[in-house]
Amino acid sequence: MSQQNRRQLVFWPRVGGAGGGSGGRQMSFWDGSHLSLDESPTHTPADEGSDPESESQFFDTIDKFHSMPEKLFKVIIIGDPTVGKTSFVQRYVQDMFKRDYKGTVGVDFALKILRWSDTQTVKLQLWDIAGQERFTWMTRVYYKDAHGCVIMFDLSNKNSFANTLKWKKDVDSKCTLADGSPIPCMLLANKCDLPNRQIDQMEIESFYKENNFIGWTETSAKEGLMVHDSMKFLVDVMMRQDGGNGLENISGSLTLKNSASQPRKGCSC
Amino acid sequence: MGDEFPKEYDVIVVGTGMTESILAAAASRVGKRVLHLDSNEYYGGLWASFNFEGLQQWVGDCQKPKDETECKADPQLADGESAIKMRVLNPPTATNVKEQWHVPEAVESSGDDAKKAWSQEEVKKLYRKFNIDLAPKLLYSRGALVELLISSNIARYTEFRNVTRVVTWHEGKLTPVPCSRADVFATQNITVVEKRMLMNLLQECTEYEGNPEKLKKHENQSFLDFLKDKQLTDNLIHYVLYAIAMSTEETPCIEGMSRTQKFLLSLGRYGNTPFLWPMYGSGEIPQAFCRLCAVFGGLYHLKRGAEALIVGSDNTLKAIHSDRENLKSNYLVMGLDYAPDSFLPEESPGISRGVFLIDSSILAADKEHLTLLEFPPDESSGPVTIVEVGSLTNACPQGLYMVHMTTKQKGSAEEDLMSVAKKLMNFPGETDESKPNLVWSMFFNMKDTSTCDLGANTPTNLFLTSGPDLDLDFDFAIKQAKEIFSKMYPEDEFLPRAPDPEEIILDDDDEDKQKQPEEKASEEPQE
Repeated sequence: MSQQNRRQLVFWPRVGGAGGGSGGRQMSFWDGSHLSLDESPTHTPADEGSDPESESQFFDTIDKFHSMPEKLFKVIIIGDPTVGKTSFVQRYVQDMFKRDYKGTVGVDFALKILRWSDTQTVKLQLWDIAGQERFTWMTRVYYKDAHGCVIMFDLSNKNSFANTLKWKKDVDSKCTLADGSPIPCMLLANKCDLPNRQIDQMEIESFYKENNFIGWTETSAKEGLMVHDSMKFLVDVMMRQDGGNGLENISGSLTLKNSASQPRKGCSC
Repeated sequence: MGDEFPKEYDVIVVGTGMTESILAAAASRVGKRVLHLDSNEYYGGLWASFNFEGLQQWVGDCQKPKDETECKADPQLADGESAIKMRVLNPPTATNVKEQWHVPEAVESSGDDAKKAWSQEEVKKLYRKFNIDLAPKLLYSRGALVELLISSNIARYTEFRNVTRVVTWHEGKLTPVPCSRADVFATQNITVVEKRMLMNLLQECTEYEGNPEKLKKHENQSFLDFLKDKQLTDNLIHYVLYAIAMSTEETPCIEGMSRTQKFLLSLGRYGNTPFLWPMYGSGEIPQAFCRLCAVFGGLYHLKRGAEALIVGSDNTLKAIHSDRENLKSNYLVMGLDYAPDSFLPEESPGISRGVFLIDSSILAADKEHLTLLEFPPDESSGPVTIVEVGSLTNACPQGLYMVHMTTKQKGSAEEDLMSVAKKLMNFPGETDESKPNLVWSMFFNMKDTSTCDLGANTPTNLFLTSGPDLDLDFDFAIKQAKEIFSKMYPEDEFLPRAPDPEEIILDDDDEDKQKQPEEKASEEPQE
């Protein structure tokens, strides 16, 4: 296998198995070239290895942004309660795992700064649902202006897998990219370190294709497996979509700020 | 695991309407344990915005026969406690709902036609591009909501657009109303002499409070008589009375002046008119408050309501029974549409609403406008508040405009609004080229519970909240929320500023990782 194909190999991480390094693990995804999320998945994961998408093409794209030192992406992380969303964010941002993690009160998102290349910095706003919203659908406010989405389920909880479809529909109904297309959603099968897995890999494989996810992989926030790799995959996709120039408003809309002129008495007409 | 549903709260809030959501945010912000429920699977209740598909479901729900049966709940009760059972959900929402298409199901594309011919098929295909408000509201640029959003820092969740023109109906046609200084000078609808008169009058209205002598003189006058005394021309009287003061012939002078002042003070802060419109619709605003509540620890559960209220012998609420569990709470805040019948006020006036989808603006211009029109009262209808929004606000797809009409209910919404609608747009068969063609319309009525006495029949620690009112802005809901909050927590500040996300920043580099925790601790006001 050539160097470039390494990025596109399908490999299921197993705790304690061979290939402990991150090199061999890869995401499963399709339609890598343009991410037009049309309904006909034509590639199988195995095909992806020979996909013309290459590292060099990829870096050509970021070349455009050399003048732009920083990109900002908003990524939302959703899924049923207790599937491990907060642990995942914590592992990714702080490289820690705590069993009894409590959401930070009063904070909307965690920020992760990536040195994407020598010339490119990427800032990720990771919007974890406040643990408190775990029993419900999200407000549209939460989804607003998101560039990417992670939908997570627990491999040991069949129900949480079934509900990912509801989450996907909720996202698609409440936000789109600027051009009206759905935002890229990655499906993560968390807790792959646990022995009692309930969902067959082939089932997930056909599920993600049918439902227009950009890719899926197994992860373990606890063991730190595929956490960085999967996020890198998502950032990759977002970079290619040419978004992330900030969370700017739709042209002409206003954000209220205190800096606006103070009330004047007297005639303002 | 700590993931079971907690059973005890400081405040349980039922319903995600405007007042309820403000209260949930305010309580959560000062550290109270808040549970916020809504039996619908969407936020906002009667304040919600829907896309086209969501609206169809809402219409369907409204047209179902009202279910009066009680919930089957059988809560455990302690000594002296009694249970008040609720109606089976969902709460009754709107009445006289009438939805109608005015274009064919499908049309063949004609190609060279200048004006696009819309079909039902095409509109439905674009259903996601809609945000249709049940209760459309504007914000005064210096009104209570703008100030609250800024002071609480909830503004970070919201976006707005300026209303770009204020229009009136005068002498059988629509005319833009000059409201800013620039407008007054630019307009060709009034003479130079009129311009001076108008400027003088507006000046006087902004200063009337500092002049108690003058105030007294007008005490028993109507605003109309006051304007006539000023020897204003009919033109100007019309502009000031209907479009700027949004009054009627009977409005007392002082009220007219204070309305004019409110209008003028909000001019020029963000744009050419005093008004802002929430992007994605008014339904965004309660959601912004809900998000703040959740970020500060409030617990959310949609599609879940209360089946019974458990009241002690001392007439205080002890708990609610919800989904086979008793959930204790010190306070209960409940949208009126959820309240058991025994708590409800006997009579409340109604609101008539119309929503119209049209294929061009009611007053064509060279760019897309966001328009406010206060339609003056006439023989057949009361004053009607009309807001026209286009695709720039994400209210509807490009090429279409959405017109919201709101008026006090007299008959059914259709009866109350049809005559005004007919003046502004072409119904099928009509071909007036100066008017837009109607694509789709909907009428409905809802109750205006803002004037009701809500505390009369309730336990002392239960607060009922009103649904949408007739006013142009959200001020009533804010006032009501503040009053209830100060009854619950008189010692606490109402929505103090939330810190900007002093988020956890960690770099890839290991050195940074070491440094970060201390920095974070100093920056973040934790729990």
